Amino acid sequence: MKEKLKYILPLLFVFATAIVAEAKIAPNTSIQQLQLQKTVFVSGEKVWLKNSLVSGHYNGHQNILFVDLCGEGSVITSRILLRENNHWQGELTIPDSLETGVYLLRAYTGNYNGKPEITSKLISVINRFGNNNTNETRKLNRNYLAIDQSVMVPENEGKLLKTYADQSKFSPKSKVKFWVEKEGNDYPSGISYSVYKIPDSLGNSTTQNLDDAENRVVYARSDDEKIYNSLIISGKVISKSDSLPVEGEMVLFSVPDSIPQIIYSKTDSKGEFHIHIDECYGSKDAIIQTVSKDRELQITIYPNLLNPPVQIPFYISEATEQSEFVKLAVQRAVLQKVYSFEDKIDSAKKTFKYPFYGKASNVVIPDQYFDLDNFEEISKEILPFSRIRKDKEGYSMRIFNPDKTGFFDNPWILVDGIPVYNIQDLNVLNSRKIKRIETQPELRCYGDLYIESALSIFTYKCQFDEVKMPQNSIRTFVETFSNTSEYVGNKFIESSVMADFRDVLFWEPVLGPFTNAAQVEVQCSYERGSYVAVVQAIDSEGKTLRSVFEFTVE
Amino acid sequence: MRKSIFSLLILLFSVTTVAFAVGDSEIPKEDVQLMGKIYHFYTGLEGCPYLAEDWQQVDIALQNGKVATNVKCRFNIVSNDLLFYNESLKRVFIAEKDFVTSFTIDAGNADSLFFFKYNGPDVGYRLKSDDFVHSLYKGKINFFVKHLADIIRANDVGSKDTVFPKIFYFVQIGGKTYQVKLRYKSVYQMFPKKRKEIRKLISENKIRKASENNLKILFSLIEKDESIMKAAYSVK
Repeated sequence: MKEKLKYILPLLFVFATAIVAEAKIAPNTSIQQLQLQKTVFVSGEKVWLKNSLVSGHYNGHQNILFVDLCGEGSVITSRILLRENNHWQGELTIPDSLETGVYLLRAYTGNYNGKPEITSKLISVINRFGNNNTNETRKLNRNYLAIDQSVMVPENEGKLLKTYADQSKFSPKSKVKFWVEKEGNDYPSGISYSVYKIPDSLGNSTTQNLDDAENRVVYARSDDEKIYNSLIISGKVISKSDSLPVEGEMVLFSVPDSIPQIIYSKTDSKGEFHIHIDECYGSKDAIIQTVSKDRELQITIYPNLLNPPVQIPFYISEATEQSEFVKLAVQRAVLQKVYSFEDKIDSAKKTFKYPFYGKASNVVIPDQYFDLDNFEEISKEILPFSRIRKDKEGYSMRIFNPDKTGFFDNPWILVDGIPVYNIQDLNVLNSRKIKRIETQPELRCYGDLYIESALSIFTYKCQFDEVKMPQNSIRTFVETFSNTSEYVGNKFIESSVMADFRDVLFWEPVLGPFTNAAQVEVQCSYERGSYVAVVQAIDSEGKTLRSVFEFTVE
Repeated sequence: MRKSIFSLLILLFSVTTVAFAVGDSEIPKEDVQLMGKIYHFYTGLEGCPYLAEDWQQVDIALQNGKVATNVKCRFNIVSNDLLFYNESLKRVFIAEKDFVTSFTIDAGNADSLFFFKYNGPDVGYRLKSDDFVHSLYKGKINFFVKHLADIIRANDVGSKDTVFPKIFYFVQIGGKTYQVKLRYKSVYQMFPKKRKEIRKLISENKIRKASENNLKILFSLIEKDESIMKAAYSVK
């Protein structure tokens, strides 16, 4: 036995050290770092952000990042981002109506158990129209603290990253070349670079600047929040008559579109459904309905964002509000709105779209025929395969099967991609409203959905606003994935005739790959004053590496 | 001592396995939706119009990037269609070709067959763009086979229509597709100026018999030789 142990123990040692060497942090833990392009914002501006992720081995459950800007008890605006390598990047527009005050920007993802892992940053927002009621109210609360984020300038951390320029004074509109140097290759989330304006005099502020400011934000207790690694709309179906959950009910999710798509889910024993909308981008005007129409059902959608904090115990002091730096920031924001340059370069992701009922075998364009006043006439006169029938039970539709002489009595009827079930409702549609009508006279399937032929009507507007909402349905805007965009200020053209009042001269969440040193070219704006160039990254242990270079534009 | 070692071992292995086990179970799973048209079975045929007599387990890769796994399927070699059994609707459908990019029969096994949708010029009536073909070798040179079958109508009273399966081999290089036979002569025709070099490769690597496997080896060797590859691209 002792002989055997001689071999087993070294093997065990090798195995254990291999694990430790590979994972600098535990396999199922992760560290996130939220980074913004600056700290003080004016309403109407954009927050550009990067959230880096460093984890042990298993981070496949952290693909989706929810980002929101919160006030006390409210989510002001939100975004959902998809991970790119080991980071997320995106932007969030601060509404013009947002009052002056301190807000919380959260970025969160779900851990192994679906529990949220949050990283957050306080941001100061100045309303450019002077609306500061919220801030004034907070000043009256004794437990609230004044915070001045304009004077918070990042400090150097670690020695592996370095940035500098050959001089520290530049003239307005000049091109500045910064050098970025790095040692080693331990930057799993890439290296970011930002150049932005700071107040000319720092350190004179009487306000407190707390390192643990975000930890002072107060949340209401909530134990049952789940963040899934998939974009899911969850909800519940109950019967209106007895308020009991409905099990096994098919729930359809559709969006007005010229290429009809459908996503469906069946309710479980609690009446709950989960619709995966992983292939959607942007804000969607969604119609969610049940297939059953024989009884009245109620659909409730669960919010897919975390509850906002109940208290953000900070305010912007009078001195900060009245400071030259803040006043100039507001002026700049107003001028930028007047001389607005192209907002952003969108790299909209293309998703594969295919009508869920297959390709239509027959397309009719009513405009090519004489004007018909209602859909019954259209069906009778110009649609080759369909007929509307009236009997004691009401209206029904039949589609003729050209292959096997016979009829389909239960066709799917869609208007702008939304399934409708009441034929009589279609009569508001006439030749002037309908752009095209597709007929699919085949027996088909789409997953668990059996499609006994389909008739799809597309209106000119394609917004599903001509026909009544189907029974047992709700219409709601659903926030899905945001397309990534690039900070347009990076590419401001030197010869542009537009006024250039950028305070953020450069924002690049991930610099292109380089070996030891790289050069970043930045164009100064007309704005004179002090600036900082910040290069930042996190290593595989989650430690922040940062180098800051201060310069002036005179 | 023994006990402590065993407990140490158990501890070490449990650390690694726990990380895999926790969590995902509660996340609602998403089904991959397959799309298709209802399939009407042949009646009164002699011979098998499918690639295999039995239903096979197939992984289907879709245009939207998702993969439907372990779907009960059959490949119809007469119409070049993939048929699938929809478990919940209990019916057989023809998979929508526009929606499928590739499929693998018996995925994970050593004898799995990978089919992909051919994209290139038509080769007579035997190969058309979007046909499902069985990949034998994929690289700079694509070597694949198309399984097909003809149904010969019965002439005599009482006899049945008969299925005649066939296979045709093709090679795709640099946007051009050639029909080939399992003979080295076909390869020489693709690289007419490099006959000597190819013969040398055949003899050096002892692949004298022109079988499917040996052709795969030969194509992998040709790919590595840039001078031979250039000769293929220069052939008009």
